[in-house]
Amino acid sequence: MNTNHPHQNLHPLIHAPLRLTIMSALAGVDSADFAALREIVQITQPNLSKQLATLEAAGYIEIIKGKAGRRPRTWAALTPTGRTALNQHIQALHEITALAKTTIESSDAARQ
Amino acid sequence: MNEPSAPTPEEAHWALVEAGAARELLAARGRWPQRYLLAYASGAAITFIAVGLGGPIGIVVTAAVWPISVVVMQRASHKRPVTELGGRRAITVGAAVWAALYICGLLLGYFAFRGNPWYWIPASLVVAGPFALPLFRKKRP
Repeated sequence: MNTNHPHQNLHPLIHAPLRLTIMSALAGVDSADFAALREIVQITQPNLSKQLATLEAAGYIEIIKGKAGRRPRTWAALTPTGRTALNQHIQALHEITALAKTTIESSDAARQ
Repeated sequence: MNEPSAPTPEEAHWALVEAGAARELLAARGRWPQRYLLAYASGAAITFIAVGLGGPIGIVVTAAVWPISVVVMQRASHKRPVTELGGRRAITVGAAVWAALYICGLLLGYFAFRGNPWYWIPASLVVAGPFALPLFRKKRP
């Protein structure tokens, strides 16, 4: 019998709500620039840079610097490692909610 | 890094809701490749017919207009802040398959069906196909 609680499969780095939001937003796109990401996450630029740097250091995202016309622009994209980690984290969250439902149903059944 | 403390089921539920919302919001901003591919598909079909049935004028106009259109669209696509998942791949694969079909279609039409609309019009749809097909792909859940 597997006694592991699903929370053991949560990724510490992604567990922070802000980083989970950033990673989840990036999961639905090939890439997004800083400004677009900041609008979605609604945090200051220095804070976003800090969070992205942390995720980049972990190998979860890739920072791509380029130009749009003459203006320099920076894009962020999820790496395959980051996508796998995010999927595992999301799966663990689903398992936690499912486990709670099962527990409630079991105790209801026991009461009846 | 320390193992995270176990979130309550309610916290886990809300984390999932917020993650889903963030994903959907950003993805919605990146849904331009469909319009882009539709423009490419239309242009590819028109230029193919123009080359096959437009005579020397069709060839000259196509040779002048199509490369410029491609460059303008490419530059515009690189300025986009967000690209939906698989969008760049759809464009790259579409362009590669289109190029191969375009060359084969032109050679076949030139040597076997010159001036024959029964070849050039249906073939233009086949040539445009690689750009149009991703428009009908199933969305990821």
